Amino acid sequence: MPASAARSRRRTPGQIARGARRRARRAAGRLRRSWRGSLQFRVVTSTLVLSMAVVVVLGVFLMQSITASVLQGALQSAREETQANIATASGYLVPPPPDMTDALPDGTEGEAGDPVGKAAQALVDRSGGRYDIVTFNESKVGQRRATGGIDPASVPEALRAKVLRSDALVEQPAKLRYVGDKQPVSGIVIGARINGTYEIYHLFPLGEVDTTLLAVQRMLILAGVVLVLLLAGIASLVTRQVVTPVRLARQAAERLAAGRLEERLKVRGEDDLARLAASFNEMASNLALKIHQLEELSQVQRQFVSDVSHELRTPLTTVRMAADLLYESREDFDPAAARSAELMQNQLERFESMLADLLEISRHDAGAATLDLEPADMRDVVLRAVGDSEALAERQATRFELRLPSEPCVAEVDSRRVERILRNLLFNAIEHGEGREIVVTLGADRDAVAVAVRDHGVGLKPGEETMVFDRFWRADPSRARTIGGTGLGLAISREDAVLHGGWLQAWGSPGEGSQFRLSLPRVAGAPLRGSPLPLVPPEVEMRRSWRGHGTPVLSPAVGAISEVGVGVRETADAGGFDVA
Amino acid sequence: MSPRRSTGTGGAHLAREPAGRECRRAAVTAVAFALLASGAGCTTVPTSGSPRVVAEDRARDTLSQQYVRMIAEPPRKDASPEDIVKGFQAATASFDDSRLTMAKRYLTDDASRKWNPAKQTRIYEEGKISSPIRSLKDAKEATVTLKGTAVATIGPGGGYTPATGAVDETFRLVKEDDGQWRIAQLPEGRLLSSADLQRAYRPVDLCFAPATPVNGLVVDRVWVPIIPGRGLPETRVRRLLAGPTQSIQGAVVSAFPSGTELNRITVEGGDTLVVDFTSAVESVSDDQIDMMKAQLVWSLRDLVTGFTVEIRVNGELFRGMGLRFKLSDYAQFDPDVVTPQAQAYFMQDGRLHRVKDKGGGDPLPGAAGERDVEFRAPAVSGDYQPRIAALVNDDGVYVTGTTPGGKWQRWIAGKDLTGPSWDRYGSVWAAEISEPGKTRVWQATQGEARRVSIPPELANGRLSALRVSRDGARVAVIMDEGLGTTVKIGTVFRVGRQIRIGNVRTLVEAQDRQEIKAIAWQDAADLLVLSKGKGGQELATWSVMEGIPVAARAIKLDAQTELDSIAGAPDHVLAGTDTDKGEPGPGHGEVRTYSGDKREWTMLAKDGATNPVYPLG
Repeated sequence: MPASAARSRRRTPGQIARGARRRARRAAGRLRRSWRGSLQFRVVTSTLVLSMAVVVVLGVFLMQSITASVLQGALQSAREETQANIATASGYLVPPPPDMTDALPDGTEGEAGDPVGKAAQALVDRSGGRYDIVTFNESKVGQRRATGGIDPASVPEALRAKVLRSDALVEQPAKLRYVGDKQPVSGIVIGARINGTYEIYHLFPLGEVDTTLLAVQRMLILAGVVLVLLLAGIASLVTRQVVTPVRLARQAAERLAAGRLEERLKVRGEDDLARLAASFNEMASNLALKIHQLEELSQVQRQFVSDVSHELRTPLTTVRMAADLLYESREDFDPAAARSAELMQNQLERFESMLADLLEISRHDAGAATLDLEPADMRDVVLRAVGDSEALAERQATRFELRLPSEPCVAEVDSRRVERILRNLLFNAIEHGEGREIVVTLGADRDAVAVAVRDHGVGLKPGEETMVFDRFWRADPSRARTIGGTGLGLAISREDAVLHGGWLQAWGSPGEGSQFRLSLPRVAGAPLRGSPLPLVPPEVEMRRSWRGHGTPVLSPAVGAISEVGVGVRETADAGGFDVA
Repeated sequence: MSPRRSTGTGGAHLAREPAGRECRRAAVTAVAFALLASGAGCTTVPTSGSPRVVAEDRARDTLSQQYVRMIAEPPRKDASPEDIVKGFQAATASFDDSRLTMAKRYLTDDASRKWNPAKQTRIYEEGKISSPIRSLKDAKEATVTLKGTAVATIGPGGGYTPATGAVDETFRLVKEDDGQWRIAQLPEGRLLSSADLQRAYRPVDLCFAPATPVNGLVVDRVWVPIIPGRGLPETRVRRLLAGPTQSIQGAVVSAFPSGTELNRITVEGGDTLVVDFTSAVESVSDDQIDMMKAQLVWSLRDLVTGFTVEIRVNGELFRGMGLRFKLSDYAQFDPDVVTPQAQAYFMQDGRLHRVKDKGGGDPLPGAAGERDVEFRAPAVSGDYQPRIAALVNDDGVYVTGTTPGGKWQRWIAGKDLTGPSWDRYGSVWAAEISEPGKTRVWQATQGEARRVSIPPELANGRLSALRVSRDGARVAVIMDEGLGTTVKIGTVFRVGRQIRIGNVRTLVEAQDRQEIKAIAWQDAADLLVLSKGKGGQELATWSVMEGIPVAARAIKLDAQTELDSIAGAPDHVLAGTDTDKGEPGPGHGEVRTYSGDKREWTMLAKDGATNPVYPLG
């Protein structure tokens, strides 16, 4: 605990930023998921955004027109007042005759000669406190006056420059400051030049207009926010009416897909959604009917296959006995008849094993196959299977290479079935191995055991890895079955592996041969998470990576080196699906 | 067949849904428009409604004031010496900045260190700033003179003293290193023109408590500059806390504990003026609280009419209880003492009459309303039951009550006495009319006369009249020092039972062939002076504390009628004529009253009526 606290205390800003970024990314991901996953969310969000845009545009437009109309009145009266005042002031501020200024030594005016003060007093008496006046004179010293508490710095410099250049009234909005008041008031300054040198500025505070407009603005914003929220609420409510039945339909469809064919929707009313529900129900019952029919049909077919196999056995036994007789006494026949007897004997054997395989697979189809589990050392199982195949191998001049672990490797399996699987794989390897060496590897880890059978024959084309397990599938239809396999061996093996809760997978590449791998859990019923052996032979894999490029087909296999379980399970699931 | 149809309808349904959303959004937008439009429609001005009482908002008018102020400007570049002095003069007339930073920019560093503007303010008129005309091109120094007529001096405390003579001040300027003229030597204090004074100063009547405990106030008029950003009430209260001016110091005290400062003044609820002081105000003694409150409301006087004043201490209630009062609660502290509605009296047939509302009069009860004893120069006290003092038998001042059967009692003995004058403490004052150097002034309380010590300025002349102001704080006398009659004002100092007149100033200077005939106090600050000179009779109202006649209250006299006695009350002037002096029988004298609004006299009583009198003064 102290260690973690210290670590959290020592988090650098970079770490914090990274954490924030991670959190933001997570939130964005959630948002994106909601956006893509929820129709309601999408409708509410777009309503919110669009109505917000509309309200903002409308609010700005309204605010502008209200401001304009409210200000217009205040400004108009301010201008009129200023005009009247300027007429008054120009009466006071008569410019002295030019010769007078030259004749007299420039003297300060007495009371009679303070025209600007008198003018300001006359104007301020008229103002009643509604506005203030500031005067400047750039050509004469000591003519600056202000009324009330106005700070003369409230007159903007730009306005002064403009007033000095023009003869008309010039106005500019400004912040009016008062001596002793910290808070400036918004207002309008109207300036004019009188008799050439006097600048007179009227400063009208518009604080009340400002307050009114602020109140209006606040109201508008409040109304806008309420409106937008209301719209979002309404949109949410309305979409819920649509989304809820759609969601119910989706759930029902999901359940239907999961196999619960009795799932139905409640039909309420007569609207579009009710019709949707009715159609859904109709579809579901039709589907159920069809599936039922198909199930029955397949049941009948399986039964038929099973029955046919059984029924064929009795006459076959008789035929066999007769054929055996003929075969044993073939030396007594002429060569052509003897050859026929041999042929018949061979084909009868094949017919019998095919019948056995058919019976076996129909047992699997009927779910009647059972496991006879007991702990067995897998090395013995492999050795037995290899021993069974050795005769055939010798005939094909094929050699086995066994790679078995030194320690016993015990698993709970039905050894008869596992032996059969391995036998099938070995026969298959001998048949397609073209006489080259066959490597049988046994691998084990804590949870699972695996047997890989590797041949160096023609190999498999892409896409054939799953097809090999299909019933009566042939890599090359033109090729004859040399060993006389029934075409059901791999299919039965696959069924056996699935019965164990294991996997049977194939890998192959043209020219490089193929490898079949059987993976089984050590304890029966335990889920299989990975295989102790790779599906792709390691030497092939290494060669591929040395070349520095992999084919697109094999790129998942590259990942499979580190995460064998995931890649393999996907293949297995796909295979299982195909079989079902 | 049926599954396909069902999916078909489902597909159509799904395709229609976005269109439905589109529709909804349009509807929602339309609703938004409608809402906003209806909201806008509601804001029109109503044209009907029920009548309501309008709440009054008077706060603004009281605290804000309209005035023009001078704005200091910085020295202009390359300005001539005259312009520098003019700019400096304008900058000193600005009260925006108490440190006068802008004005000091016109001075050299040395001069700005030495210059002390707070010391004194001199007022001049018809000022002229000029400099000897000569070439300034290469000059390093220049002088500029300010010439004008002296008007007055305003002391550091705001006391106004009239001044005469010429103002001739010289500013010495030097050219600084950057080629700009700056003032290196200048007259002390501030020099302001009378226009500056009218613009930037306002007279304020402060009220202080007399040194003797009494329920009344004494007015002290000061001139205070208008400081922008500070309201008139705040200016007055701050000045009140600073104490009385030099001229009246010692005669009055302030009930505010020393160290009290004003925090702020605010208006609450439109009719309460909240005056917030520092905590020192709470140390006021209990018997001084009323005086303190009276000082505050009477100093604010016209600003708080109709308002409730509340004293707070650092934003909290005074002593936890609060202190709220009105001007009307302290009416008896009025520094004018008598109200404009005061009862007037006059003499007729040797009897003292009380003026009736409809004109004419009734004789008073008691000795003053009878002809048994001949008396003259009556004076009426300010008591609820007025007492009358008069000169009787030429051997002293006698006093009588106004109850029937009252008798004259001698309070001050003396041969040649001026007419008696009451003060508000119930004392009668009179001076002996004698040769210069022997003048004595008497004050008598309850029949016991005491001599008032007077300074040599009063003793060295012949007094012909003595009037104590109604607040008892000042004395006005008509005096002849051999150069003609003058009016002098003295301040009354009371130490225990000792009474002294000091701080004597001349109000009306002696003028050639002008005789001051009578004086009378109109209110606490103004004295009526009746004089006769070359141009005939003249009746002027003089502001005692400023020493100048109040031009706005000049009184027009009827050239045909000669007045010989006057009496004043706030807003009222009475004058008596005695056209039939010495003639026996029913006289032709009249008592007239002056209307300031109409500027004309109307008759109040006739048939030998004379000698109008108001209580006190």
